[in-house]
Amino acid sequence: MWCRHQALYLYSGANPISYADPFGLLTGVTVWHPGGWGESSFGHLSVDIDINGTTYSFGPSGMTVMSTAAYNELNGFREGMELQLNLTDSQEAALQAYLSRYRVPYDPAYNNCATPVQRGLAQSGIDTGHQMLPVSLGNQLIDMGLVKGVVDHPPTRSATGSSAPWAR
Amino acid sequence: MGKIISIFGAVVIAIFIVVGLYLAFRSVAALRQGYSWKEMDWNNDGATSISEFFAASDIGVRSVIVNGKKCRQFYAYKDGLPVKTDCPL
Repeated sequence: MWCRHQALYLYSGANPISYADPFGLLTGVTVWHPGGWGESSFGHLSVDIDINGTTYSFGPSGMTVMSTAAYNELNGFREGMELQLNLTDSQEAALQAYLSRYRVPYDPAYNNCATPVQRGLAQSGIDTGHQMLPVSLGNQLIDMGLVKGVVDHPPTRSATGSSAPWAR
Repeated sequence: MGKIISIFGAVVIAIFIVVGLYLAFRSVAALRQGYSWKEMDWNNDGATSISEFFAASDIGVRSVIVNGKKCRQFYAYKDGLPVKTDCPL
């Protein structure tokens, strides 16, 4: 039976003690659970460069850059599913550089949280198409075989408020 | 021609009903958050607009400690980032 914790060890060759992140190349794309009734009801997506390093999150207030630990704590009101991508050094550097200089105004339909990630990956030759929703980009990354491991970030505190039917 | 107009009219009415239902549900969700009208002034410009009222359905609240004081921090469900922080005087 598949256990989600087994996914943690895929990249390290199923031997996390001897081969934990042997190249330090992992990049995490976290798909956060939706909530509320507005644009948040379609979820959110953030990028963790060098797992547990720096998180890039694009939203209505622009690109936020902060430590992944601090960002995950702020999002502890909901579950997140981190898809670990095994990028090369140059691909990761290109993605990080692109996200760092991203200044295009946010638009929920045409330039949302998933857009800079897709465009950043495209800089490295990874074409994910035009995925409008965070979860559709996550599914696309899985379908393309780019995901080497999955880490679940369970909620650390109870959520408040109600959610739209499509956000549950 | 009359049939086309009636179909067009039905589509327009259906759109109004869907939008109206969405706004009604969102209003109830905003009210159920339990925020005061003054608290929903998310941009701190001194007045709460209708759009700020609707935005309340996408904003949660958590307790944080700022300079040793227990404060209420409002945060966006979208990305978890703080919208504003209210501390007791």
